[in-house]
Amino acid sequence: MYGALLDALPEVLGWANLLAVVVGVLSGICVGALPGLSATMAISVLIPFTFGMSPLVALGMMAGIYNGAMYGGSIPAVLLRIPGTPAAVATSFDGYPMAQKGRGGYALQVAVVSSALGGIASAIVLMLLAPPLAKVTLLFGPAEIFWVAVFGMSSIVFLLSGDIVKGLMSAAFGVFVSLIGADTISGYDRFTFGRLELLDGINIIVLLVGLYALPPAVGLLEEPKDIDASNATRLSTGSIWSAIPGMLGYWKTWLRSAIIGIFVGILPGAGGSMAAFLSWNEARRASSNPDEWGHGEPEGVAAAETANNADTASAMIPALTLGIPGTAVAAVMLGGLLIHGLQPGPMLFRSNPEIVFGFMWQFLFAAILLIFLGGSIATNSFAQVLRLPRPILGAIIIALVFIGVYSINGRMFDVYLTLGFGVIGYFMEKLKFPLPPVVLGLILGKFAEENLRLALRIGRGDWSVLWSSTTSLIIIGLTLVVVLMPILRQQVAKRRAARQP
Amino acid sequence: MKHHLTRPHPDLIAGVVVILASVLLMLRAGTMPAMTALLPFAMLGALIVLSLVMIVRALMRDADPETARPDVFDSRNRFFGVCAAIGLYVAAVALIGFYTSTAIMIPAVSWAFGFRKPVPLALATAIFVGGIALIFHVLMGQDLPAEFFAR
Repeated sequence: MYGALLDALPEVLGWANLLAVVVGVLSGICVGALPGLSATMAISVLIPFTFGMSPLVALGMMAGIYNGAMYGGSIPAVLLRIPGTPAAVATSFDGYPMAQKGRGGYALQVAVVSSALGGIASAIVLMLLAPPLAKVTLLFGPAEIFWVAVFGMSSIVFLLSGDIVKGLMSAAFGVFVSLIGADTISGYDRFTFGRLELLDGINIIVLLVGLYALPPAVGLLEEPKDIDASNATRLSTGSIWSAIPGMLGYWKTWLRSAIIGIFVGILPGAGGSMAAFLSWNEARRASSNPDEWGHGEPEGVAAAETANNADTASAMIPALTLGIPGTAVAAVMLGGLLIHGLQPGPMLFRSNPEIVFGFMWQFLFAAILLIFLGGSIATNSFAQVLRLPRPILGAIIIALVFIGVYSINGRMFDVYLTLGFGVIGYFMEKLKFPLPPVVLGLILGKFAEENLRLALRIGRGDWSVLWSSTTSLIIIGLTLVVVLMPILRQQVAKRRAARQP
Repeated sequence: MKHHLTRPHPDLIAGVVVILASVLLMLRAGTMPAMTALLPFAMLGALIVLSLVMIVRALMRDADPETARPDVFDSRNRFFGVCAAIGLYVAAVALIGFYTSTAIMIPAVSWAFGFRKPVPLALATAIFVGGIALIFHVLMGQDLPAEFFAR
């Protein structure tokens, strides 16, 4: 297998293939940075134009777009708290406070380096471990996936929120929103109030933009300032190469987040958002100063960005080896393979090794190119957005919000829905309800419900199916640890304080 | 002290609103098949219980005059001004089209909220609207609400 991997390298290093990756990465960064455009959409638009190209040129552009867009999403997340892609939500938790403190440039540098490292790790795993790792997914049936979702939700609520009551309310609200629409198993409409637009549920971008982008836009216009000089004058846009040595202390976060991202990427249906959330949360849990997280901790940006890029190549593992696309982007990429006569599945590695392994090399090169292309573009160009006067910036965000939401389905209803979520988000923020649990609830709620009901169907209504496998029991154990640890820590701290005279 | 007596704690108001909404939605969930309604009931029930906890906590805090109360609005007038601007912009987009509305909204909102330099305003508007038109209309073929003169 590894001989075929090396055999594929010379062709990938051809100028046309390398240029395709460069163009892909640049386009991906721009696409990711613009709310409303996604990697899935950009690749879908690209596919018809690749008919006449060689398969490796087409796949190189797709790999570049995918990697570039995952990083590009962090640019508006850091500067404006508008996640360019859903996977960049967790980046905004610390990236935006960093920008407010005048460290937006550094946040973007951390984001680009972490994205590149996550992408490199993921590409290496894709190249070396694709077939054996694909077998790991077989250990995860509906019951195990349900517990993974419960683990994700419980950890974020108990570890993120200073106020557990409000954290739980936020998560319950998020899960409830995820349930709106036709029930995928029974087909029964839930809380659609007769609106056809709600049958498919509420798109995550609609909720994200409403909760995360509108309140800061209102905030920018509410404060009677001409220019946000504090952010602009202290914006660090120095060389990325001089900033890298200072980031080396994040190596543990990079390693942990890469592993989480790769693992989540392999799981069908999970995606970069979940990877970024779980990774951010785990990094915070492991941190010696968890209270700083959410207020501008650079490692928070590193954790989220490493994980959401580590998800990219690994999401292709089940797609290439089993023909099962785990994410929307992977599905579109499979379409790209099919139009070039390449049938995904185990036989692909035998029938077209030079293309499938060449594609893997392209993922690796795209990740490396991120530092060179993303580093200079992001920090020296996009970061200047913070120099705009606040009223202009507020007005532009309002227009971007409109574009981002309208372009999902091309209908005004989504815009009205976003305005509604914007009002809810504004009041939640003012009343100190944490917003991340809402998003995680939306991402994991329906996912958990579907897998729970699927597991119960497989077990013919017997609830013990949920804890009948060792994998399930391990995840349940981890969930209990995550829930009980903060409570036990509090108790221990109280006892210590009581003992001290 | 007077401040505490005249205005209820915002958490108390939020709790009551959440309970009312949850009860109404629960009535709707009651008509659904059992498995379809399982998670909605669980979430709405959780919201009601947690809201009650929040209300009790707010009442206890209200009883303590030393506890600080969060302010919901930085500036009430400006908040409603921004809401009105966003509402008008969305309505205008539906009526007269995206590019026309945006070309009016950016300078108008910036002017109304304190930035009153005509040249930078015109430049920012032209760059933004032109850039969006280039990317979305020319390159990506992504349609935004059509202009009134092109319908």
